[in-house]
Amino acid sequence: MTGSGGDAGLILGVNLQGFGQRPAAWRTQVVDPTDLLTAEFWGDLGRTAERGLLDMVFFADHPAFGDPNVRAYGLLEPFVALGAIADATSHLGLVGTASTTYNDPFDVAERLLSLDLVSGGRVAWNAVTTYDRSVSANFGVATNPDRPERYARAGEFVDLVTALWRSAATGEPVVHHGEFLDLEGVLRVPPSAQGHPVVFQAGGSPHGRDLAARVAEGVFAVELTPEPAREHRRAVKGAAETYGRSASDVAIVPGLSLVLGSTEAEAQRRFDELEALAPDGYSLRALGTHLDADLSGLDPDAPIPSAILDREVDPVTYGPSLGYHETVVRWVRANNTSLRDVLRGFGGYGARIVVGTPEQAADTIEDWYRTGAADGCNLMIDEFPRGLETVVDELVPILQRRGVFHRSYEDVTLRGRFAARARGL
Amino acid sequence: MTPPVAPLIVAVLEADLAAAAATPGGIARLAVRIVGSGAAVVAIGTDRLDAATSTGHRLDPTTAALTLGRALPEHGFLVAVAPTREHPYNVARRVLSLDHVLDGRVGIVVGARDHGAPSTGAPSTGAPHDPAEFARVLRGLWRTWPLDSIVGDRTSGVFAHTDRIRPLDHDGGPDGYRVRGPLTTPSSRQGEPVLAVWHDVDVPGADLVLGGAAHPLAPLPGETDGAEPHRASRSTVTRPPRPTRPTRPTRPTLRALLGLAVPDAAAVTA
Repeated sequence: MTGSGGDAGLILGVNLQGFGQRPAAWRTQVVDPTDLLTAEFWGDLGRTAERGLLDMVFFADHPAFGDPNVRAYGLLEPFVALGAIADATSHLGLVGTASTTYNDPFDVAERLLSLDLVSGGRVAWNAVTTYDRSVSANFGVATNPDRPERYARAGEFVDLVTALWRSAATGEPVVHHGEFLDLEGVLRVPPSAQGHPVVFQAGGSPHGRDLAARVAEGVFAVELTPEPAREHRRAVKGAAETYGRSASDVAIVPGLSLVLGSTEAEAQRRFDELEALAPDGYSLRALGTHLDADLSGLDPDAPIPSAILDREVDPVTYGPSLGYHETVVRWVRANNTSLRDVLRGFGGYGARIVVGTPEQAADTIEDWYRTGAADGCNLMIDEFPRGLETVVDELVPILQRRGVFHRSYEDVTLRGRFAARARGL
Repeated sequence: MTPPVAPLIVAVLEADLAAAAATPGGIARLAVRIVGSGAAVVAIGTDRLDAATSTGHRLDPTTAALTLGRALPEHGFLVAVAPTREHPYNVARRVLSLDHVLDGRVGIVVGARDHGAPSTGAPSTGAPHDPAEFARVLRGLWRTWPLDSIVGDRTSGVFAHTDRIRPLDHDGGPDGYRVRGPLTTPSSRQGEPVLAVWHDVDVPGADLVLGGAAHPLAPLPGETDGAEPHRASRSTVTRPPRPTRPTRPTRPTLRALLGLAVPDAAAVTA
């Protein structure tokens, strides 16, 4: 059953990943590589998303250099790029990632509330933890804390940032002396149109889901198949209730990769072309990352060995994403005819993928939404700007005709729109 | 009568920025006041670098510069930063990112500390940090990825010549920063953001010293007295003669507005 406000309540976001989710997206479009550094490129994407009434754009973040020849991505700091998008738009939600492991809570609170104020109440913070040696080396940290410690700090960090945001409205100083953070002070930025930024969470481990249930208003989930997605959504919403919140206070928004074509065959051709131009071994390495294994020596015509899939993972010490690991292992088990076949279906690099027509994409988005597997999706589009225009011009109208997606912005603020369309279990 | 000499740089108070951001049309009105001042460059957040002026409402300087910089497409912007709470890797990428989206019109003013930020629990890495080391790390990181290494050869699939991208490998010892690099962000159209320092900080090789009795910043004239010289003559930095029309389609960078060259890489490695 869905709660009140479920009509036309589908939440659609776009994950802004460089020139697109496909690593070769800069080679299949006529783009200048330095477009990624301009306000105009991001502002135009924002305007297109807003034309399609999309709820939000999203930036992940990785505060370390990544080889641009593998994937040109994340060249600008997320909240600066979001600032450029804010300037070009009036309603679009602006979701940026900032690590609770390698940031200062006072800075995050001041910076994000400032953009929230300037943008008219449209900002959300995706609070993540960071486990990556390339990142820790930039911050002078030799060893990353284990998962329980990272999440304990994350929980304290989010609480402190939220308390600072409240202090901006009340003027009452925050006095915080916790396990990881000490701070006494008041935030002196005026409150925004939505009070303060919305909070998102993205981790799929038990620790991550617990944090989401306690504090998040939105969750970027990793789900490849609908039944576990329904279970996880029920679990997070149920846990939110045990924290004294309502199940409708948190929206679950899994990632969804799209490669669209006017026919399924055309979409498949586009997918194959983009994969052929991707750096050698890109999707093999992406799969290896999520399985935490080197797959390069394996026989492509044999199934992935059960030794890799059956390995016990210690949630305390396992560094990479547990959510991806759990979801990808389950999916590989169900599709493990050969490594070659697995890779062919692994085109979302860990996210669910639709290679097909806008109708086919609408079918599965609508099905996941109506059957309670998701409250929406965060689209990972093949190419920017081209693929976003296809989504806005062809996919969005279908979802509107089917009555699952709105025909106008219900509210100027992001929090106001989430409230207008909140769904329970 | 001689027309008043317009200041090259005006300082906008954080309280004014916060009030403008909180009022519909406020940023546009503030932009008109800045144009009326005749200044070419706007300093943002420098009041947080002095204990006496660090009161009242605040607005994050990079966010304020981004918003004003889109409203004022020809002005340069200097944003206040300090090692009080923030790590230089985060500051370096944010400021260089800002320099890109504002088309090379950005610089920083490094102060010894942000007097309006809580000092408890800061910085999270331990002892108070040296602003000169902080500035050195910022500038070092800005030089790790040269913009012209990006070639975008669609045929070969070479996006950038990555052999020209180098780590920083900064090690400031037990009380200092350790920063590997390279930065996530390539250098900008003006090479790198302008590095100005507040009067209480000594950074060898800095582009500019601002503030204090020796280099006072002209305050932004009020809404009603925009035509007045308003203490502009107190500023030791005055703007050079300006061409009536820009001759090139590309707008001047902050370095061009301030008459600064890209400093020599050797100046900051010492």
